[in-house]
Amino acid sequence: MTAVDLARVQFALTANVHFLFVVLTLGLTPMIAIMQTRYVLTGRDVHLAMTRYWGQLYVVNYGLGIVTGLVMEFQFGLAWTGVDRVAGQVFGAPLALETIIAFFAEATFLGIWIFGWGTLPKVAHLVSFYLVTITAYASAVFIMVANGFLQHPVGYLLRDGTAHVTDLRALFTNPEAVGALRHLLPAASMLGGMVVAGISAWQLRRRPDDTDVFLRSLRIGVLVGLVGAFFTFQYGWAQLDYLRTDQPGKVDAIMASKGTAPVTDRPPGWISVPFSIMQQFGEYSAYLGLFLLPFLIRRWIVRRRLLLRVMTWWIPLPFVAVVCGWLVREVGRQPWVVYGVLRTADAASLPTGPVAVSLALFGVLVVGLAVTNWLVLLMLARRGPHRLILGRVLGDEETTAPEPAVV
Amino acid sequence: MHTALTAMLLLLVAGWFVLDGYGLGTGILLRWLAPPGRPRRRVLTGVGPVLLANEMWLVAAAGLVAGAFPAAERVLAAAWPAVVPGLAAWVLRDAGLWLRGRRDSPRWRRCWESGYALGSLVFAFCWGLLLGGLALGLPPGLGLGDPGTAWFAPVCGLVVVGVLGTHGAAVTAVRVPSAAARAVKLVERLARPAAALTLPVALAGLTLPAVRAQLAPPAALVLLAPLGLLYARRALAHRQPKRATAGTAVAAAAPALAVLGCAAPQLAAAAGDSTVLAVVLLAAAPVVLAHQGLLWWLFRHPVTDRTVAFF
Repeated sequence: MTAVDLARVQFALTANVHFLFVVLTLGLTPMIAIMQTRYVLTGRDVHLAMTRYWGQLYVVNYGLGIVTGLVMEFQFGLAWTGVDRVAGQVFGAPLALETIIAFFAEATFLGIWIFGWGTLPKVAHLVSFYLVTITAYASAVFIMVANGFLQHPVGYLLRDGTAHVTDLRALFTNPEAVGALRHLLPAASMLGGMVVAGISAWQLRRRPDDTDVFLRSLRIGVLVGLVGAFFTFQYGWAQLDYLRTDQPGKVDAIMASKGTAPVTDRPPGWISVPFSIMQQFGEYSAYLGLFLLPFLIRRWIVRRRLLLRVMTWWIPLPFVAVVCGWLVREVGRQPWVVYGVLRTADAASLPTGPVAVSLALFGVLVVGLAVTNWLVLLMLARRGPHRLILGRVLGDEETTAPEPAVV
Repeated sequence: MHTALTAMLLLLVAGWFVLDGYGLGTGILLRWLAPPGRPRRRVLTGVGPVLLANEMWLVAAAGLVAGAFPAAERVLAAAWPAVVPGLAAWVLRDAGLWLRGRRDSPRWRRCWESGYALGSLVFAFCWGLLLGGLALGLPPGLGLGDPGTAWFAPVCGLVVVGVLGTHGAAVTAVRVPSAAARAVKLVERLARPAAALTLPVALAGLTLPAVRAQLAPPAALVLLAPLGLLYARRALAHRQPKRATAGTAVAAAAPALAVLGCAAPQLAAAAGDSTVLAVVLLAAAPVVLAHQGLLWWLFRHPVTDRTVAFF
């Protein structure tokens, strides 16, 4: 394997693990915002339990999104200096805006939300979560604008081999950015909804005593998941309209019959496989959601144990689908890193030795942490809404769960 | 405009050293700050609420380099012997704190506490390597392969570890009353050796021709590191822990300010040419300072039984 191949494997690995955690973060945030709003409005314990239960899963999930994001951010300067040399001034602009305007505020308000339970007034605490939600989505916008530029460079001028921003508005209204956001944001809702519904279904089968918390969660999950699946499906197909002219090679690889423009650069042909997995999954998810709708009335779903089981086993599928989506979008752009401007082979910077060391180091670290984090999430999800950790003070912990002073 | 962006970059990096330097310092000294179990959890609860917001200063600095100084981003590739292990250590540090409290098993907690401690130590050391390499003018492999300069970057690494360790102990003395006695003792024990290491490294560095070639007036700022440390020790002797944190904060920021201050003209020359971006970024600075200020104000109280804990 050459240095470029190793650097690509490292990027694909960290990007995909990052993506899996970030998509769930994006999917859960609005649902938790709804749950907490209902708690603030009604003051009922069931809404508080829901907010804390899903909130702690969200926070634990968030941690891995951050650490893999750190690797992503530095990876460009480390292994892909070609991108910075040629397109840094354009591609870096949305990244700088993302970190300073969106991510900085998101992390600050998330800290306030986690550690402000019980000390902040209820409404102020809710506002901090709204700010987390808004900034999380703002981050997604900036990142997809940066990615959209790599897919379809617009709003720039090449001078002496370096791209300069000429039109910031064109950069932000790039169809490759807007179209992908319309597909990705509902996909995040779909995934988040299915995770919430699937975990709630497991809890309903195992612990009939918590039906209030989990029946309500299941309803929210199915509805959000269904609406998400519908729009993901619709805006996914809509992307073909401009891909036909912008990236004919991608369209030719995924469905040769739909392409019209002449093809010069071809991505690997195998991306048609992840494409068809993603597309069929989206279709079946929409059918499943529609089929489940009538069972949300009253408590009809609680006794349908087979349906509950199907919902639980459905949880991994949307994750597979988003990885497939990533492969179609990013591998489908090859052999270009900045489409039509810079070839991937010309963008890598480090020699083979350092790339192999960094791939080994980050590979073990990122995969190991991802697996550990999923196991922790599974454990917290199974534990149910009784021993919640989010919002506890040091004092309760030390009186209710005694541990030896010296271990 | 370029000067303002360069100043913003220096502010973000210096701010990171002061704020997240506290978290790194508690990691480096975790073993000595508190015994395992509840006392250690209190020390980590002091860091908890501010951890994410603090590390954002470095994330934002990297974002600013990517957007406003794209030509300077090649530094990361040139300094890979410091950047690759440093970044891995950063990931491990965060994961250690994030996962530590998630299972009720002493072994699990000890394992992730070690991750937090090791990550903090290596991260701080790698920053020293990077600063040493920058002071040498970024030779290939950070000068580690050249017998004449091989000692310089690693000793800079030790300096950063010593300074941030002292800083972490000084801030813990203010934020976590239950660990204050141990923290004060650690500052007393560490401040002088750390100051003593900083001064000769700065002076011996001047004997290297590669360092002399990079030299500019801001390099004198490095002297603030030993001064800040000694001031902190004196303030603690007079039972003024808050003043001590001011001293260690100055010491934490001094090495980075000295090195990046010398590189400021090159940075300003590498700045991109998008005025709109520069204006937006500079306009965002007061907003960032405001929400950071709000966070520190909300979590200004020392850790007690009523403090919300998560990690």
